[in-house]
Formats: sequence, structure tokens, C-alpha cells
Amino acid sequence: MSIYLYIILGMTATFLLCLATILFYIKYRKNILKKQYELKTAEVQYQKNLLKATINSQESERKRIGMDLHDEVGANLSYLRLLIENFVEKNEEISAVNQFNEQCRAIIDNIITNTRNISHNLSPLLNKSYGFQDMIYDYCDGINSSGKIAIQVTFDQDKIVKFSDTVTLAMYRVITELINNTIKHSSAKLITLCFSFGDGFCTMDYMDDGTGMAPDHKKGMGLQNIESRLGMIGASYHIKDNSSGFNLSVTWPV
Amino acid sequence: MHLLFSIRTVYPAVIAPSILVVPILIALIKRKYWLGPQKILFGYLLFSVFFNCIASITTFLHINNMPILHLYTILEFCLLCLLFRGIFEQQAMQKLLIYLLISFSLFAIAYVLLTHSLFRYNTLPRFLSSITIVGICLYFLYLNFANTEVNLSRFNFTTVIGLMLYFSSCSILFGLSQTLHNKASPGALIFVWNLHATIMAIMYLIFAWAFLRLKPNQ
Repeated sequence: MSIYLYIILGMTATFLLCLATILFYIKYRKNILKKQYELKTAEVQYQKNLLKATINSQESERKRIGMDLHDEVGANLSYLRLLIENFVEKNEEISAVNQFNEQCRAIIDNIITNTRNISHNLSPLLNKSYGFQDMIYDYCDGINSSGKIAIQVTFDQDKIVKFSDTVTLAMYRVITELINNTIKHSSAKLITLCFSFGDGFCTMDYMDDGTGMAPDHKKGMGLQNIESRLGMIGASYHIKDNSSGFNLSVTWPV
Repeated sequence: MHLLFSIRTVYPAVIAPSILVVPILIALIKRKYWLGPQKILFGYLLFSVFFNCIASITTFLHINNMPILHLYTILEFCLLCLLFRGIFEQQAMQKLLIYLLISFSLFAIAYVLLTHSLFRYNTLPRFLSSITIVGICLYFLYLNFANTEVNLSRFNFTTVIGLMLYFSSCSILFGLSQTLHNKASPGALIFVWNLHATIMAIMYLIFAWAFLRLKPNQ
């Protein structure tokens, strides 16, 4: 066979061998990268599940404490109040006892009110007949009654909004955390909360007229909690221009 | 016969090298994403255009263009060493590439001037340069094969594939070219160089693909 045939065969064979090696190389790397990607995705999913479980267990623990406070402490205090009242009715002529009665009643009433507040705050879903709107209105009314700051809440439709328990609780916690931050850090006088509903999603715009948040502001525990809760319900959020107060928009699927 | 010979050399001397226009145009379109390796590869493409033009003209004028090939071999190896220097991140490898560049250039010059005629095919330097380039390409692939954590640059990877395909396939031709010129018929010679031109065109198209895949982060 002539040398040129050897050369042609050699060149073609080397070319094909090289091509095959490269294709194998690419396929092998793709497989490895795919496996790495799957591993990372599984890890992220695991972290999400862990976070969800942590938040859920935290909520159930709060709920348990709230119910215990409501059912045990509250009930017992009411019973104690009744006992003292009965005791006084039997000893009306003694003025010192009357005075004792008044004092005890005032203290116990105070304890009952505080216990109720604590239990409602710990577990806002204790009363399942409450809708999301009622919860928000209730909470905001409480803040408005203090007179230090005003909260305006608007829903763009009148029908009763019904979210899942997870979404309701997560959004309730987010809103309370936002309001808490505004009160603590922004010197704001007015908070505006607007809820609007689209096709398959709901948007909440939170605005205050305070000092706003610095662009280089580091995320604190509160903001991290907000992020975690929003992540848990698949919500996205966007902090808008902060030059005239804090302005946050949250959108979540319904 | 002369006319027939000219027609048969049109493919390796004109058509195949003209494919260089494709990667050059794509490179120019993507010039805003250029970094070091892209600039050197573009320089290599322009350098190839220049030498291919000279080679084509001399072929049609039936002038021995072997002195140009000697110069081309040295400059091509230098440019590719610089290209690999931009591709590899390890300092030791970058140093080694500079040593290779200098030592090969000195060797090729000494080989041509002292032991070889300027008008004969430079079998040994051309063969050594192609084998060295294949070795460097294999080392690049090995590095990235072993280290899957590294985010492989698509431009670098595609460029190395093009170089490896061309130089590995043509090493045998470069190594035996003098024997081939002595023993093979003109028709056989044309056939072999047509095959070489085809593989070279494939390399240019792979370079075009590398430029086409350029993205801002590369």
C-alpha cells in the first residue's frame, strides 16, 4: 500500500478517535455536572424543608402555649375572681374586705386581659372563624388605639379572603414584624397597608412615612425571619425606593 | 495540465482558507466580550489569513513557499503558546509555556539554518510543534476532567477542542510530509493536502463556534 494511503488512513483514524474522545469527555462531564446539580438541588430542598419544619414546630409550640394560657391560666384566674366575689358577698359589712375585694378584682382583671392578649398574640388562629382581613384589622386597631401611630388598611375587594393556615399565619407574622420594625426604628406617623388580588396571586404593599432603610443596611434577625417566612409560602418581595419611608411589596400565590 | 493542476489546488489554497472569514466576522460581532485569549485567537486568525494569502499567491505563481512555512511554523507556535498562557491559570504552566515558546523558536531557527534547507519542508519542527500542542490540549482536558469543581469556560474548551482535532489529525501528515513529497504522485499529494485543508476548515469553524458562544462572564 502506498504511503499516502497510510497517511490518509492515519489522519482519518486519528481525527475520528479524537472526536470520539472529545464527545465521551463532554458527555462524562455533563453527567457529573448533572449529578452535582441534582445533589445541590436536593440539599437546597432539604434546607427548605428543615426551615419549614422549624417554623411549623415553632408555631405549634406557640399555639400550645397560647392555648394553655387561655384554657388553664385564664380559666383559673376567672375562677379565682369568682371565689373572691363570693367571699365578699358573704362578708359585706367588713369594709377592709371590700377594699381587698376591689384590689384583687382589679389585679385579676388585669392578669386576665394580659393573659388573653398574650395567648392571642402567640396563636392568632385560635379562633378559626376569623378571616385574614379580621386578623389584620384587629391587630391594626390595637396599634391605632395606642395613638402613637396610625395604620390604614385597604383591601381592593370586599369578599372575605381565605388563605391556607400556613399563608395566613406567615403573612400575619410578616406584617406584625414590619409594623414592629416601623415603630422601633423609623419614627413614622402613618403606615399604609394595601392588599390587591390578581389572577392567582395576591400583592401586599407596605409603606410608612418614616426615615426608610439605608441601602447598605445589614439584614437583622427580623428581616431574616421575614425572608424565611416569605420563602416558605413561595412569596417574592421587593424593597422599593426608600427615600420617603420604607416601602415593601410582597406577592404570593393564592 | 497546468490549468487542471490549478483547478485541483483551488480547494486547499483558496476555498478552505476562505472559511477563515466566518470566525473573523463572528469574532468581530462579539468583540465587546473579548478578554485575553479571545484577542490572541483573533490575532491568530488574522495571522492565518495573511499567511494563507501569501501561500495561495505563491502556489498559483508556482513559487516555492517553503521559507514562508518555516516562519509560519515558528510564529504559529508562539501565538498558540500565548493563547494557552491566557487559558491556563497556573503560574507554573504559564512559565513552562514561555520556556517552550523560546526553546522551540530557537530550535526551529537552528534546524532550518544549520541542518536543513530553507526550501524543503520542515518536517521535524512542524511535527514537534503539533505534538506539543496536542500534549498541551490533552493536559488542559485532563485538568478539567479531574477537577469538576472548576467552571469550564466554554470558549477555552471549544478552542482547545478545535486545536486538538486539527493538530492530532495532521501530526502524522507533518511527520511524514517529506517522505510523502518524495514518494507520492502529484494527484495523491493533492488529495492528502485537500484532506488537511478540510480538517483545517473544521478547526476554523470550531473557532467560529467558540466565538459564537461567547458570553459576558467569559
